[in-house]
Amino acid sequence: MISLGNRNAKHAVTDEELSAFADGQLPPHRARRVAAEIRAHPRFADRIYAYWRREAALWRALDPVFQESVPQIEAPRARRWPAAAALIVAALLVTGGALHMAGSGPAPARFADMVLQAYMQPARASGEVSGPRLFSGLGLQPLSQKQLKLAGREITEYRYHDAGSNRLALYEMDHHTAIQDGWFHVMSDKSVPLVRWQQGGKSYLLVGDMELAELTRTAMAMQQKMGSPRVAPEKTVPGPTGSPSSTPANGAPAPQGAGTARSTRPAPAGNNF
Amino acid sequence: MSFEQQICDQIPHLRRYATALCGDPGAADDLVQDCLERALRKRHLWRPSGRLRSWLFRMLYRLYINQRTSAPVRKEQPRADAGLDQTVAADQEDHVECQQALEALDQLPTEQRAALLLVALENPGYREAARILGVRVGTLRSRLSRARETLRQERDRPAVRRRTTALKRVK
Repeated sequence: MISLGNRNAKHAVTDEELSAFADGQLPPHRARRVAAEIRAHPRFADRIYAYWRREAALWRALDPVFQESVPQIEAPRARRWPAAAALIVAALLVTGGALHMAGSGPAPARFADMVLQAYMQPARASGEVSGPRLFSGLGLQPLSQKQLKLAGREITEYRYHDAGSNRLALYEMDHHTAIQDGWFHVMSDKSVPLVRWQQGGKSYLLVGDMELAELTRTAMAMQQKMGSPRVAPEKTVPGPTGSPSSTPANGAPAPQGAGTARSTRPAPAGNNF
Repeated sequence: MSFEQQICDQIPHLRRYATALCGDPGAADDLVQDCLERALRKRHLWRPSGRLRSWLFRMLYRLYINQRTSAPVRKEQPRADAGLDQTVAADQEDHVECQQALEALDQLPTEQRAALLLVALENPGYREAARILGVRVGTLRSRLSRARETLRQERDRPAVRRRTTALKRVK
């Protein structure tokens, strides 16, 4: 309370009112009264100026954080923050990840390495890509379709050119990788960006000579084209290729390692939103 | 604009607020990531008629409060060098003032600091800010007022006294 004598006096101005006045949050009739008091008592104006000045200093001190661009991920153990942004982009169509029992397939990193090697091999354009993987409407020009056998696994490779003549390839494996969830996994620490996800009992990996964000958008569009797995919990729906697949329930806990390396600190308890 | 795009737009705001709350960029990044992950998991709870900013900031603030209460070992420790790693303008006087503002901020109780930072940095209306912080508008006004007065008095105090009180008594 600002000492103006009697608190109940008609012209009393409280600290709270001055603070609200500084924010422009007083009702008009009260704001007029406070403004009149400020004109009559310059120390009130000084006080409001001090508030503003202090907050302007805070603003200046913290504004660089706001202006920072999202740094590139340079290594798997890079800060979680850049990956958080990538995660947001990558998880635009997150299907509500839920960890299943571990699959029998290779580790995700191994799967990625295998297909990356295949991607680096020159491909002969045949223009043959079967119907379900044509992805009409995405602006992709099919180049070739090839069956590969990598580490004993059958993998189908689909190659495309996008509208900007960037090459990209989708790899499809008839098994889940060892870690199963419904998330997009962005792997930008490779020589070219990769996006991996699982859908309908299969693992997919998209590789392309383009920006990670663009590749992720394409991956999400492909996932949509192949069938939205977002269904009510407990239901079993046919996967994109017709095989039954149990879809993770929306709102299930996020998988460890989704999108990036996670710290091992415990999740905060309570407070569901 | 899609839900996800709106979230993306809020990331710099969330990050700045989290940095200001935590006083540590690393902890702030963890907090923002937790918030983003939770937002994606709980997106079915968001009503399109509501304001996404309020929803996200409320989530962030609650996560912050939860972390403080559920992990005592991670409780904030006042640091003498708090804010030193913040980038500030080259101008010395300006630098000092920014530094003092950050130091003074550390002296505030969490609730007051959260209220002041939210209003000062994001400039929501009082109703929205109160909703984010989960308090009544009257409570918010009171916290803001007390926080501002503390900062103002801290600024007016002689620098020597400020430094003296910053020292920790060791028995």
